[in-house]
Amino acid sequence: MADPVPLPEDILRSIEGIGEVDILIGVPSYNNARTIGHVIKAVKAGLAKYFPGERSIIVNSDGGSTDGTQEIVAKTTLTEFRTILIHHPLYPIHKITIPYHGIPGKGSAFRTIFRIAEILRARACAVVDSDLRSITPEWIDLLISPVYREGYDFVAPLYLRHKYDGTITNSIVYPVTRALYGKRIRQPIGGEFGFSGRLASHYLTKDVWHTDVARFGIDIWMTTVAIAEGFKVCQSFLGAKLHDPKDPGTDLGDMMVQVVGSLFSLMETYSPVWREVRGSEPVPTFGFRYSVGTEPVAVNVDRMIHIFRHGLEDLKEVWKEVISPANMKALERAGRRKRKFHIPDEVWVKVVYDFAIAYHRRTLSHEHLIKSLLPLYLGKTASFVIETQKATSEEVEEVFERLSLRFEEEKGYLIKGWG
Amino acid sequence: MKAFFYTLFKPLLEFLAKVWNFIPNLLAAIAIIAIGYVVARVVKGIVGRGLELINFDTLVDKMGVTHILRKGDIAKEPAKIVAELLYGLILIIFVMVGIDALNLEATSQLVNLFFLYLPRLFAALIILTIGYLLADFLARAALIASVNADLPYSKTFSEAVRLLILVLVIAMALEQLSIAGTILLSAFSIAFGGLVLALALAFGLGGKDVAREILERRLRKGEEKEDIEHI
Repeated sequence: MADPVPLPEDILRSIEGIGEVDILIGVPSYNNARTIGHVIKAVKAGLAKYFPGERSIIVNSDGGSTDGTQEIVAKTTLTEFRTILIHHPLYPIHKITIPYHGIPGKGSAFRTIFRIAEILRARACAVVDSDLRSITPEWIDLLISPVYREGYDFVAPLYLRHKYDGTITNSIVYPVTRALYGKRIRQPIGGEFGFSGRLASHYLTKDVWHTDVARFGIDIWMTTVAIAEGFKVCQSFLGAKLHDPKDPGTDLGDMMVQVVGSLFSLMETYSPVWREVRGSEPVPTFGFRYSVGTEPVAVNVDRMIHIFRHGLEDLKEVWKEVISPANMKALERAGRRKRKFHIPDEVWVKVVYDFAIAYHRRTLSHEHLIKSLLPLYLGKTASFVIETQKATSEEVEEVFERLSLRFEEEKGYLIKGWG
Repeated sequence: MKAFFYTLFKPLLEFLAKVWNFIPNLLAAIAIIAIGYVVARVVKGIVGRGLELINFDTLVDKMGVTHILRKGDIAKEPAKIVAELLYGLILIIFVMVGIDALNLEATSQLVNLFFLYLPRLFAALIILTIGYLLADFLARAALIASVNADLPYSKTFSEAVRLLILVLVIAMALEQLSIAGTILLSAFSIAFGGLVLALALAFGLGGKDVAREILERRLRKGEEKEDIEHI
């Protein structure tokens, strides 16, 4: 059983003063003064427009911002929207800003939000990032309505992104989650989610708040728990996702450890579930799909290939402990190719499964294992960029569909190696 | 005549009396060593079986210890190694107690020294074991980080990390054993200082091209901005 979530006395009193709510929107933040005002306005407008008769609350769970984020949340009002809103909320929309405790990170902020949702007996909840630039009031409807009106427990986001964005999602997290648990949730680590009060309480019963789940691992954890434990899941199309540039100091290796480490760690927890699953099925999708132009992104393919080859040269001894001899030979062949650099899907799939098996068997320390996957991941990303240079977004989606199917077909390899 | 015989046989009689008095001590020593042998065998068997039952080899394998043993050309299973180490230790302790039972001044001092030295020996062994594991772990961490950052000479860097830690660990273990403390300190200072100086020279003179390459690559990375969002 998890430890109780620490909440300050004054916050507890003000929550008790509110009583119960129908809808809760959580906004985790840390130094997001530039964008959080826009996010809070969009959330308020969304609540006023789509849920005017419901009792609502916005919870800002802050990690100790020093740039005035909390003051902006307190000051943000909806006056400029009044003229364009048809409905006006019957009840005032409450706002609370609360500092979260525990390991600094998104997961700890979410934990506080789950706890407040439980105390207030919220029926439907959503969480949205505070660095969003493209959030609109419709996002609130799309994340809350499937739970509030259709009885779903978990709503994953579906965004339009540039074909080269979200490569960890596209080449590892989505296909592995789909092959393991049989649900085609396209963005399992999207960042924004809708969920029922029942699911929020269920999340709180898990004792994971001192692991990577407390950081970047929270997204994949929420999605996996919802699917693997039989909650009713769907996804909502939210359009384009644009947000403030991420901190350039964020290390890709650390991000991989948190995300891929959480994915592999969840495989341990749910191995009795995923071993029985064969194939996959689509999940209901809400929202109107449309296409928008996305800004071009710069990709340094040569650097990626260089790091992959560097890995082949210097990390060979480490990889040999993890990757099967046949897959190792295939990677060496790919590294030797002078012309068009290419890592075939079947090799990539088995390499990812080899790493999952090594994680399970503790062949190496978990951190070393996943960090040593980075050059391989960059190699596969370079191969994908070369392959899809002239492809449209739809064609790229087909490439991911083929890769995902390959992950499903090779699942027997994983089960056999898992033991 | 009587006095002559007395003078002649007195040392012999005294010697025989001493031997006679010594026999119980000797028998006690032999008995202690024999009991020790039996106890050591029994403990070895029980510990070996017990470790097998709790899958000790698999646990240790997962921690990477088996891999290190293989690298050191030790083919025995970890459970057997632990059982045999325990066997050896118990046997040595009983042999020492047996020697002490002889009640000889010289051996008593030796036994006292042995028991005083035993904790230091243990501490040195623990330092060496942990140090070896730590050196291996940090060398691999340095190798992976260096490859991921695309720095040249990753393997050399990783081996340098391993060497530095091992030198430090061996020095600490020898210090624990009180082996030639002063010489050791001087040798360590000279070796460590020399190593640092060699590295400084290598980077300053021989490695200037490498340093330039790293700096150029850093600057190029700044120019060749990458917008891709991996998550």
